[in-house]
Amino acid sequence: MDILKLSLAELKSALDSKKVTALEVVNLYLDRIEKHDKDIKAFLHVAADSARAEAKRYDDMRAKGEMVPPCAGIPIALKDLIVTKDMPTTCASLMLKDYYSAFDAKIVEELKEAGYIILGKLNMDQFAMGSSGETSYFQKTKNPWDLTKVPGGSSSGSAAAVAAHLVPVAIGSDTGGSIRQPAGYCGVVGLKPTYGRVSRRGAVAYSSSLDQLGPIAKTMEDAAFLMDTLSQHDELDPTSCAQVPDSFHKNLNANIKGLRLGLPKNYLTDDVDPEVKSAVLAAVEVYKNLGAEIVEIEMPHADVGISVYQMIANAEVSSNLAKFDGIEFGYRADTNDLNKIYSQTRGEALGVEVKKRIILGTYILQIDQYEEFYVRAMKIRSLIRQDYDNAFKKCDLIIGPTSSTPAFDFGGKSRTPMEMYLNDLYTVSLNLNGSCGVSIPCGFTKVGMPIGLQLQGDMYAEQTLFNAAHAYQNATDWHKREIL
Amino acid sequence: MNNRVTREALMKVSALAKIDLNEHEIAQYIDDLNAIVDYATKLQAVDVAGISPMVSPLIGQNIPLREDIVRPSLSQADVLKEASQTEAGHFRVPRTVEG
Amino acid sequence: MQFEPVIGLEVHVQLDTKSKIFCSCSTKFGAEANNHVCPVCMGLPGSMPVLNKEVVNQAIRAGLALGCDIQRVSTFDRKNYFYPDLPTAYQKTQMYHPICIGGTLTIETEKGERRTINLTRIHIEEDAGKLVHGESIGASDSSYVDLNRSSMPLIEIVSNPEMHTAEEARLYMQKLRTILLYAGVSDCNMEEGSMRCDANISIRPVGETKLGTRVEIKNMNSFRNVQRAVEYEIKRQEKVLREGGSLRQETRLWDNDKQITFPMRSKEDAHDYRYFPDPDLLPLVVESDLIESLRKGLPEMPDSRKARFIDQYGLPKQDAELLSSERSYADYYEEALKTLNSPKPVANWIMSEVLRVVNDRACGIYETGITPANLALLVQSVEDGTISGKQGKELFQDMLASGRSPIDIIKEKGLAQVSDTGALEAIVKSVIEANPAEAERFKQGDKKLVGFFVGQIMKASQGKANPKLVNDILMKVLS
Repeated sequence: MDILKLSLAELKSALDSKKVTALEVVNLYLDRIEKHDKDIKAFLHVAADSARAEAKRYDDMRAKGEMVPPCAGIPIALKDLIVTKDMPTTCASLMLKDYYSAFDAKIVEELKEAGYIILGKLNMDQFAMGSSGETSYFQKTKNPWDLTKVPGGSSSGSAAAVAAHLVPVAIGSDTGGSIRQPAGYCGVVGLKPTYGRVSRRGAVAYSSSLDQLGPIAKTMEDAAFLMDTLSQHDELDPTSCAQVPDSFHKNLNANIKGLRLGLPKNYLTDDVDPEVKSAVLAAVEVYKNLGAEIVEIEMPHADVGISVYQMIANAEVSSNLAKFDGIEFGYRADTNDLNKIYSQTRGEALGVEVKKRIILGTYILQIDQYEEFYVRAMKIRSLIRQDYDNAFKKCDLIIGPTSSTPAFDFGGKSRTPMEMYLNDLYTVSLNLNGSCGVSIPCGFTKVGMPIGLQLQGDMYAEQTLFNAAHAYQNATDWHKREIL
Repeated sequence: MNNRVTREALMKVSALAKIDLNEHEIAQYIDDLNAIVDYATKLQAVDVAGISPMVSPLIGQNIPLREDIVRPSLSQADVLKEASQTEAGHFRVPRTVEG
Repeated sequence: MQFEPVIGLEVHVQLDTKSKIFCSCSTKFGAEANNHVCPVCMGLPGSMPVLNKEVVNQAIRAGLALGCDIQRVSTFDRKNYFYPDLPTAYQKTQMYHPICIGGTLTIETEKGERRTINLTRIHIEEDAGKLVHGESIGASDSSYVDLNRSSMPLIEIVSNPEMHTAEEARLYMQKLRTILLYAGVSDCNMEEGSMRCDANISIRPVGETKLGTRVEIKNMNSFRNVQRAVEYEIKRQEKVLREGGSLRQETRLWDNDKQITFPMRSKEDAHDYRYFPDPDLLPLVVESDLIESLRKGLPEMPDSRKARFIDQYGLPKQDAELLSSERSYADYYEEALKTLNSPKPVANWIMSEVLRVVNDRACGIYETGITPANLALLVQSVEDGTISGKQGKELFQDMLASGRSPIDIIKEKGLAQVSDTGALEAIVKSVIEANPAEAERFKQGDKKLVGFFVGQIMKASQGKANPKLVNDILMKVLS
């Protein structure tokens, strides 16, 4: 039995039937982290001792025939913006170096209750701001398919760790594509659930109206399996979804005959890499063969999505990150002048990209800029929502690329200021809308880099989305390709 | 590029955001902010007449309300544990008022 | 040149709730520093606010009591600024769409002039923590942050700028307190900071319609200080203008020791609060059913109660004013009337005796140890002649000390007056017999001697004789 190839459901059965012990599973992954992560640099913190102790505890319980939680012994790892009491939470920033939260995130409670074993915390772009993983204060995570390429971001560590089998499944966060894009770059499945589906309590906020946590997994089936644990109502998250689904995993259905897939007109522009374009069009053909109907739709405001996103996300950033001021927690500059405590602390301990976004957000929220930029952006956000509403009258899901290019070289997208941001072109609109979407592997470039296919669904349309992604993976082998 | 974000405007904003910037950052941010703001001129072309702003994806939902029940707070030690300067159960800062 | 002052007040009132506005920490006053603090009210990364239902109810009650339009939809915004007492570096408030709009408050000046002040709005917001300075905690060069007050629920009540004297400002505050206490919205304790007032003051030449340069005054923590600070500031501004100077738009603090206002030395340089809608807090939608049920739950408000006391009980205006000035006084009064329906005597006893104790002890009217029913029984005993007025006052002291029923004390101490005519006649006769010369002079017309006889009779009865009966019998026997 190759544990690395098991689905989460199969791993659960193997553990329940004692074909394998939790300690064996945990040790297998810890050994792989030990061996491979010095190259990949996905982990910021590995909780080996507590993971082994938890595994032993579950093994003892199973040996005694005691009831164990449903997923007892399945390893998982968390993007390092999910706060934990017994592990540091850094947001990959000097600002929170060695920071221990006084509370656990809601999803940490949920995962522990379900029996998942948290192996550690994963690298990311600093405060989730970046599309390449390069803005981490601590280290640059490498793309496991080619260590000279970026893994994507901001959930760089989460995508790279799953792709490299350092952990079977991981949690990421997606504000403008930060789960889907790195998943696409690393050849794994990245799910951005509907806004509010997964509690945000304990996820350090980037942009509160856009952020959503979700799984990065090897398959859609695994992502659905994990979503059954994560889709809980949280009374202490005021945006948490009150409806709790029965079970996405049990209801997975690969029969998608009659599914209407919307292909936006003028969507695959000349900016899209030809290899990406042909992989996406090939995926469309796969869907046709599976019985799906392809309909042409229009997304008239897709081209302003990036700008709207920049205005809204950064306005919220400027406020959300103001709490990092050196007083109650985090880094404090060595000075005894109050104003300097603020400005020097923030100047020294926040990264260049983070500061830039705070400055931009502060700029547009000023009283004389507010209407022109921020209010206008919020109005266009309404128009983008209308675009989606109109599209979903004609189709069930929207199909397209996750990113216009495959993973690029380190330092490869910093030539012009807008270049990196335009990388999020295909992903940001979904966050503005708030609905669910997924990136699944749909091919490889000639040089062997993965290509991501993005499916976008309506608000709370997870089951439809999952079924479609699942059907594709049943029909294709892209997700089974191994890194050499 | 119209260089709408001047050095002066940037310095005002960095004071508002309370972030010290070095010369390298100042130069880079002036360029980057102008590029972003320039790109955002696309927004001016969109007709938004009669459109209401969308603050949250949860359109039409009401704020959830909590019952007025007291639950345990953190211990004082937990409240203070991550602060760089504390004294006698308080967070310490340089004196904020004269006298 | 004559100047006309223009005054608007912004009053922050801490709502009476058990837990804070966005978290479940206790609102109890006086806990040890940083003991009522959790991830939400200390702004820990990842924490999220959840609005307290009772805060909404209290804000609506305040709005209803002040005649505001309760908004079906209101929203929460962030006010962004850095200060050590604000851990999130933004205050959650209602800038763009407050929960209440409009409203009025009527005051009556000492000259008897009634004025109705219009309110601009009432909005819900959170409080900041508390800063303590210097040696009281540690070093003199330091300030210390206590977050127990952080995220306490507040409403801010904003008046239109339409008061013109310091007296009006004080009366506005006092009336506001009365109304909010009636509505049960807050304890309005200015010393503990649960009611705080900022005044916006400007002056302009009489006849001018444009407002002058506005100065904001803070740190007035009593009604008297509000009046004094406003008085001082008006004079200061007049002096500046008369001397040809110009006023700066600024914030000044009231110094109670020196009785002056002085410019606040702010370490905040740039000001632009960058208000924007809080993406974590969805719109607050208030259903009309809720408003109606809260309206029904409100007690009769002071103005209406005062009018009723005059109409229904025939009280003089002053009495009605005093007894309706606090909801508890009015409740106490009407409870006492249930036991004894003698509106004026009961009012007199409350105003002269009970409220004296309340003032001396600075306690609530229900905390003196004398229940409304017991007070009524005491008044009844005096009214029906069971005891004398003087005895009544002694009995009141006994009741204060023991908290016992007046009936029990009267019985136990044998205080009841002798009102048995036969027994009294015997005493009267024996006193006349013992003083024949005086009796003769009285008969011949020296009516002043009645006092002498009553005194002797009271002495002989050990003070228990009913004075009115004694008088009657004396007249009968001697004439």
